[in-house]
Amino acid sequence: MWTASLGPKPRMSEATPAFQFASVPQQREAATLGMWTFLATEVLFFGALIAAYSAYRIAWPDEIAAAARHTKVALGAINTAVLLTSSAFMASAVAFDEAKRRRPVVLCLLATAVLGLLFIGIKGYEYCLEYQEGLVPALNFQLGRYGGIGELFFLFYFFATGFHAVHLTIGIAMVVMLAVRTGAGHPPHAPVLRMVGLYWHFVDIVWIFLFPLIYLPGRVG
Amino acid sequence: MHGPRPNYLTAETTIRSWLFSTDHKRIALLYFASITFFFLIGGLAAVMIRLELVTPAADLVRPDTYNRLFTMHGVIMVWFFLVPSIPTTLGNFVLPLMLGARDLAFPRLNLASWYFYIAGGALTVLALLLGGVDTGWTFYEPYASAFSNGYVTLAVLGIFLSGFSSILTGLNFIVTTHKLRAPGLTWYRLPLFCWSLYSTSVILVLATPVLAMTLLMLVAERVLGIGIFDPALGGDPLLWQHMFWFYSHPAVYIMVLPAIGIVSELIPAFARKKIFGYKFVAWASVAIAAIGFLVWGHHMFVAGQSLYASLIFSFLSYLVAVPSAIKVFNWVATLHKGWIRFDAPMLYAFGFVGLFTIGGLTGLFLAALAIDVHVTDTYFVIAHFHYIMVGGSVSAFFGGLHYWWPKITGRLYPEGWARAAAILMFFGFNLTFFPQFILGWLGMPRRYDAYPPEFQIWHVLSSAGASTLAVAYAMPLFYFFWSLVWGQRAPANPWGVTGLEWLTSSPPPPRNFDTTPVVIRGPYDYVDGQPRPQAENV
Amino acid sequence: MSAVLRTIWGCWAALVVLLATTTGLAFVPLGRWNIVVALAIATAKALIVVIVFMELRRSSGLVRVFAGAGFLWLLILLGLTGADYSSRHESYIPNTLQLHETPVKR
Repeated sequence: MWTASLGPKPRMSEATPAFQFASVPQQREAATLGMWTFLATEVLFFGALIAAYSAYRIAWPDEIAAAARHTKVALGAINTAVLLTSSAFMASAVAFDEAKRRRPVVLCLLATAVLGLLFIGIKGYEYCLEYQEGLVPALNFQLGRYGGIGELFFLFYFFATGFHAVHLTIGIAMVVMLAVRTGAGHPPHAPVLRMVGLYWHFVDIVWIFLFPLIYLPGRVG
Repeated sequence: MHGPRPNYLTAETTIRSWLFSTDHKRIALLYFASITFFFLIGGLAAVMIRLELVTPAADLVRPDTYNRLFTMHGVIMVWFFLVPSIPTTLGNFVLPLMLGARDLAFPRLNLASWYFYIAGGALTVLALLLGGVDTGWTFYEPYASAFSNGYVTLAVLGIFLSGFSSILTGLNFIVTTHKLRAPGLTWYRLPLFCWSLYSTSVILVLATPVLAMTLLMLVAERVLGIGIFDPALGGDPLLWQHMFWFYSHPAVYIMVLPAIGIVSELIPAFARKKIFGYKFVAWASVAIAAIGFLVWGHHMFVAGQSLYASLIFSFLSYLVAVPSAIKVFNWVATLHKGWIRFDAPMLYAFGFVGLFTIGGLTGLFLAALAIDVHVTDTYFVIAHFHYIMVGGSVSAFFGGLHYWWPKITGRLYPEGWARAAAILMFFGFNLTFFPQFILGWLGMPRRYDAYPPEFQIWHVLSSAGASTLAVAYAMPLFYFFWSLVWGQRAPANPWGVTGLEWLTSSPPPPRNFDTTPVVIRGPYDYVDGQPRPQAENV
Repeated sequence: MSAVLRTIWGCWAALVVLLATTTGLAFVPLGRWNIVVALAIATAKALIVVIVFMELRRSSGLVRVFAGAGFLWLLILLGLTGADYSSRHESYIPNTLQLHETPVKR
């Protein structure tokens, strides 16, 4: 709540830091540290799910492998490549931003967002296929064909990929917003682009671990 | 006084200016009001429980209602009072002042944190109003998903939302402590309350996400009927316990570490003496936070956990005693040859040291495998953790509240009444909970509304203590409100102590300091009982 | 500028090669080593992303500690929970996970 008596409302810009900071570098360091702290919480959020999944993977290895064979490994691998490429574009956007080249920044951000949407599209297609095969727990899971542990596996599958997709959607929204603002000539100050970048890469890392855990078991024999 | 200088209370007066304030001091007051509300609800449930237990027969409420009462007491007190209590109120108010900062690093996140807390609290209260939850605050599986017929999902989603509040507060404190310290304020010049808040924040940030995911899995199991934890469907109920206690044991340190920090402020302040072994006390906070993550399995000794895992957890649990004992010894050593004053905050600090020591030592009983088998799920456990959480944390909370009350409100509270309340609280507490140690040792299990007649004497004593405690908790409510209107105006530094928060006016201006203080020495510096302030010409 | 871009896209190429490797190796019978190899490759990919894309190599020591803390604490969760699961069969207590030979839907 700002009133005239408190002075002008502080703007988040390169020139003047927000009122609680003494300098712009201090503000940037605080933002970076805050983002990494947030990512540490995210590691444990997804990590808890992976821990639960691992416990069952150890207890029921054959059943989990049998269930995992029903995931679409080709689509999963393509999607991993899509996401890795989007991350490379995101990193390139940051690099171009450092060189103060606005147009390539916007193009890289748009490429990142488009690849993110492509990932969501492919993921949605997979969900459709799984629905048709009767693999959605509690909705149409065909226990007779896949067994109880199979349903547990697919619950983890939908939980993990679903939370990942939610995170990615938030990331796409932020990247699009950044691209629009930068393209219109009002780029937010540099930390914002970097913060979104950190978040995007983290979502990528979650997928890097989900892919072998979900898609790759049980491919032998 | 030169003219009507605006302070943070008077700078703006609209309701909007409070509900959308990003000033850490106003947000602290928002939290004060909210946690007081939840304390009253949780306390009301405790009153009903103690009334039921006056007689051996289950005659006051139906057994099902009794289950809902102790669940409501636990859920509200743990997640909506104890976990947020000290960090979000006193911590929120004092941390930027102690650091010589104008606010926390992310003021809007701080406000968002309060809204998450209120939203979570609203959902949980709604669950209680609709008919309550009967699982106990631990939501043990598969009972909570397959058998309980209360509003488990709603209550759990409320706790999930309040978790965001914890995480945002912790993140804000961590970044603020790292990046917003005044010039000259090195880590070893920080007041010990800052160290303990920092350690608490580490736990908040690293443990809460695991609880969040675990609760979501519980909701999935309950709503979708899939056996993540239900053994009849292939799940493992012990997995719930592992993941629940991975959060909930460190959560005990979320509750007690800030209290430890307050006591480390109060004892040097009222002994007029430098704290004994500053670095040991500071690092002991960090050590407690870290070791606290390695001991959760001691809640599962009789649950079917592997014996080898139990041995490891038992051993690691003993380790927590080392940094805890370092704290207690250093507090006592600080008193040696001090200029001790028995003001109300100091009385609370003394109460804390005694009760925390008893709570901690009985914790060692429980960490010992063989003894734990005997007293698991008895009143011994109840007494033990109430000594830590209520005797410890709540005492320190009241001590800190009295200590910083002049800074927060600009008014002095009536000292005589405050000392009376502090003493009454100590006796009321011991009368309530010491008999429960005996009850537990005799074999009285927790969570029962009826018991054999030979236990009645102890239950009557305990209920009598609870009434005393209720009076002692109500007293500050009255004299604090009295002081807001009739209390004497407080000077900047009414106690004559050293911290940076006492260098600015009482109550502080909206941006805390007119000029950023330049820190020249560490805290608790007294020469012949006279304070040497941490910074000059603020 | 171009050097930075070369590094980024060089890393991208490495990531795609690792992806192809891990997907291919999943179809090769290696016994229990399948999962070990898969997780090792995932860790390598994650490290590339963290160090290059997330610029950890240019970050302060403090940021590195924070980046590692989340993973360290995850190892605590996995390790101590694993200590229970891995030794339960040697215990006199029946393994609750194996109580029901074939799980049934209620």
